[in-house]
Amino acid sequence: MKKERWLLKEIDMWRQTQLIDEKTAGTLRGLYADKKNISFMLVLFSIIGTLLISTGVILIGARNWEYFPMYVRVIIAFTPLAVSQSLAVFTVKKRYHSLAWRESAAILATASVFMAIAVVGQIFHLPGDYGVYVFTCGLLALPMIYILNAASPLTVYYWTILNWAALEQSPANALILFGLFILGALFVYIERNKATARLAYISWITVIAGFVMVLIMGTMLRNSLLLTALCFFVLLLSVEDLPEQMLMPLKFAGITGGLAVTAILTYEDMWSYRSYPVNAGGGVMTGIMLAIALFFAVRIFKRGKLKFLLVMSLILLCALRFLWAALDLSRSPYDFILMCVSNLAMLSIGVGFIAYGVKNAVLLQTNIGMAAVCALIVMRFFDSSMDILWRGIVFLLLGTAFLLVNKRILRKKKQPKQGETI
Amino acid sequence: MKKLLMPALIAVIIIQLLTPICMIANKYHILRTGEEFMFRVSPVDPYDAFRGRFVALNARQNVRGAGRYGVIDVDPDGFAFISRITDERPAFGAYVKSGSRSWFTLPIDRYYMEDRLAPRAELRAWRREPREEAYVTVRVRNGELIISGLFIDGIAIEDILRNE
Repeated sequence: MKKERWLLKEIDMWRQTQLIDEKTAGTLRGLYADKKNISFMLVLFSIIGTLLISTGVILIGARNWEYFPMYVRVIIAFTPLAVSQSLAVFTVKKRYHSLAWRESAAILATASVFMAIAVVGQIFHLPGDYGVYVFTCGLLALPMIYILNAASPLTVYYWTILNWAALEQSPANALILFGLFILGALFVYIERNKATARLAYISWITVIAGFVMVLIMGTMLRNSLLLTALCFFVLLLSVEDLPEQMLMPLKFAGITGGLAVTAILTYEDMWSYRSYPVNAGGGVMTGIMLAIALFFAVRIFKRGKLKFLLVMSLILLCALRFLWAALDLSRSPYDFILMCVSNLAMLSIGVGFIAYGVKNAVLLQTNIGMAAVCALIVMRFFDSSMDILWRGIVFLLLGTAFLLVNKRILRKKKQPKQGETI
Repeated sequence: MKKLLMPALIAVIIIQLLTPICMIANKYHILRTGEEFMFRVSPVDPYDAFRGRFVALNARQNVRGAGRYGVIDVDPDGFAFISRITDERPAFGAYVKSGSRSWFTLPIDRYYMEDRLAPRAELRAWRREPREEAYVTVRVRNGELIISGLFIDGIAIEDILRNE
């Protein structure tokens, strides 16, 4: 479409510069304009026609399903699977270079596995279990991702393992879920050097699936969900040395998620209820995530001070949350102290972003910092659990601090200018 | 690496085809070799519009409790019942896996029949005489339960309908 539009513009230009005469220009315009419309309409009507025919066949089949002999039903159940598998073989043999062929063959094979197992279950009245069904289908779809180098079944795979894990909750299954997730995420890691839109897509879905996974694991291991989520976001934020397509979702989820959880923790109520007692599984999960985040944080120390400080402050907040759960610090005055610390953490993160953004003239960081500080101010302004007098005092102090900092920055900015004139 | 793709794909295709085949084989294996029991049942609401293709059943024994496995025992009349519910898979004797994850329920809720016969069968079972006993025969193996027949007073529901 774009090529043809470009060509039509070019034809106009050729005509204006008298490179071609009007007759030739008209012929060329007609040729390309007509071709464009025909191909678009052809594709559109082909899709609609195919959809209508397929739906009709399915409906007629469904109406007469009970009258089909058993062997016909079994053939119907297995035909899509056999066809999609043949297509996969053809793709590997003849069309492996084509991404479209690989993706289509892989998603078709995945869908037909789901269909074959469901229809066989229906024909033979097999006692069903939804969790086991999706789990089986997911495992059968996984190899297609690697063999056909296709990203589309990855979403389906994540969906199946998360569904299964959400239904089959036990501490042992938390470990299995983690292993299964790694099997999917490994594909993203293998693809890391191909800087394409596909890499960005699979990175995004892996981050989203990873977030759901840690929440399910946190529930299975009876860990504090806010702590689990915060640890996950810190981990995402600390990762470096990856292509931009992969880092983008990590950074985005890490910053927004980390700030969101920190914002939630600024409420005193979040510290004043009794958490699940910390158990070995939850402790190990938190410990591993924080240790990895700390490892990456140390590595990024020399490269980016802001990121290092952000990661470290979130790690400290995680550690405080862990101690709160482990030592049962939900009683007064600990809950109040911890609430104050989390407010200070959010404020310093926001100010840190603003300072970095202003210093390096980066708008994004400045805006993130301003959004964090504004959110904190609004939250505290409407926080009914905090005394109005205290809120007033805190706002006065913060406002004064901001003005003093501003004054100091302005003074600093003026000093070099005076030097230059001298 | 590319040379391995085709053998790997062939292996995956075989596994994908074998999975549903094994599911079918497992059902018939249980029906052939599983231990047979009879459970008293009471058919439920025959006017449910969604239940045309099977007879909806309720096990007569109202057994509920925490645990995933129910140990099967047999009463003096020869009917099976759940004598104990446990979280551990029993090492000996016949047992059945729960139909639910949250608590124990007997997975006896549907008896599949031909589409045209199922609503009639449900109605017939529901309108049976009070003295007539409705029960299902099941085959159990390694906790898996397959219903093999629905009987009213010792006669298979299919035979009753055929003679009516």
